[in-house]
Amino acid sequence: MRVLLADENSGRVNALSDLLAADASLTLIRLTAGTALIDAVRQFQPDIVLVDLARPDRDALDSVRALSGSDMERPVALFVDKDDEHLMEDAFEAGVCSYNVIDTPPRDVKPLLRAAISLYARFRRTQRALDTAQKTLSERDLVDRAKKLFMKNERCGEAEAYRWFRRQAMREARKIVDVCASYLTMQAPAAEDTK
Amino acid sequence: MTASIRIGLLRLADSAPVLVADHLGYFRRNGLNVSIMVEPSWSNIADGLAWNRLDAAVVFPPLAIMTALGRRGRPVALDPLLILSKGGNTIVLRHGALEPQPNGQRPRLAVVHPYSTHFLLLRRYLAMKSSTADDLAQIVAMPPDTMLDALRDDRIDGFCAGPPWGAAAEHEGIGRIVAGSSSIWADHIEKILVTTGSWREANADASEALRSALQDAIAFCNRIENRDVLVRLLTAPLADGGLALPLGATREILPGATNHDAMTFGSEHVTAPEPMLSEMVELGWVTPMEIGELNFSL
Repeated sequence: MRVLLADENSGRVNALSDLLAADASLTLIRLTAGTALIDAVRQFQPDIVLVDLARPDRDALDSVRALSGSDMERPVALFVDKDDEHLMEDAFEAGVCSYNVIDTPPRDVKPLLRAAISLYARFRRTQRALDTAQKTLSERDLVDRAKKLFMKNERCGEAEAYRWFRRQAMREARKIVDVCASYLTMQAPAAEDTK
Repeated sequence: MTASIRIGLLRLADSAPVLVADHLGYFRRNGLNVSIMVEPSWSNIADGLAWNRLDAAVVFPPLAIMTALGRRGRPVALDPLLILSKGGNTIVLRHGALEPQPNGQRPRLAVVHPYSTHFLLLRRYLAMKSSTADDLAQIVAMPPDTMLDALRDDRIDGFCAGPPWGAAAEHEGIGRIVAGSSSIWADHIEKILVTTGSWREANADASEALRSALQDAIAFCNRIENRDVLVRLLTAPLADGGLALPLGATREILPGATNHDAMTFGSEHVTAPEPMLSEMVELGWVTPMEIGELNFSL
């Protein structure tokens, strides 16, 4: 069975390759960075495609069936197991999905997809921890920018600016950082076109 | 009581009512706790609705119908809540894109998804150019915010997409707007907001609150004096809750602009959806019976 791994996150695709390499019946093909998903499917003729949901070029696989001009012989369909709907929900939650390229009776994709789900879920947990750390930093930056703009607009000091945002947040039952984001988008003079 | 809802949308100017309702507090005022999910592609919107990652989405009717029927996965109950916008799409071509090419290759034209109003518009446009429209071009699908790059890199020769991407291509001088919703299919329904059946069942009272918040936002979006606020919201960085749209092009296509394909939000003066449904039948996507059973009333 030929499996195309479409994921530009090299750490994750390495880990997935290692995981699946244990199964000798699988031939693994990696999508190289910058190659369009649909071109890779055309070129490598895989049976199964595992796709990172964050890829913007997933739409192209939809077009294989719907558009007559897509010149692909074998239909590509999102893998759906009618007996196990949670499997796909888990896959989407983890950030991966699986397509069958059908010209022969579909084979059992479930073990493959389950392996991918657990791996993606693990990466997602790590990523979420990183994101949280990153978010704390960028939230601090955002609050600083909003305060600076407020101080300039209202000609006041930092303490007063902070009090204003805190009061606004309490009144609107929102987080201070959300109030600051709204203030920035609504008050910042639109930058001149940088074309 | 507060109802939570995850609304999916793409980086497009016609997503504005949802952003406005969020930033101006209309959702909150109506007891809604909204998470806006900016998705990378229409496939992610459709799959998100089908596989329980989204409760609602800003979407065009053909994709909503095909998703509800389970043509991309499992069927999912979808209720159209209201019409958010009409028209606003444009077709952009590189100079000479439809002329016979020296290597005999057909030009590649992109639409945002196979099951899109954009595909229907492009098909009508090509049919006006040639009786053998299907042979005139190869049609491919890609997300709207990737089309400028694709056109610049010669991966496509033109596209049909929502605002502001057509105007943005003209601004950059990489293509020319040759037609748009206004000239091909005036006042067609473009974006609607759909909610999943499961969300509506669990939040019976919140549907009306959601509709009301979005109607207020639509009224705000249509007032010309609010254009600067909309421009700021739509062009703000993603991290600040904006959509990072290009500034000059966005300013050009909001209500009040002189552009033929400037946006109009809401359902006023939209044409009936039946011709759109007939074209979907004609293309073999759906049968009249399936549409009847779906009870998808716009």
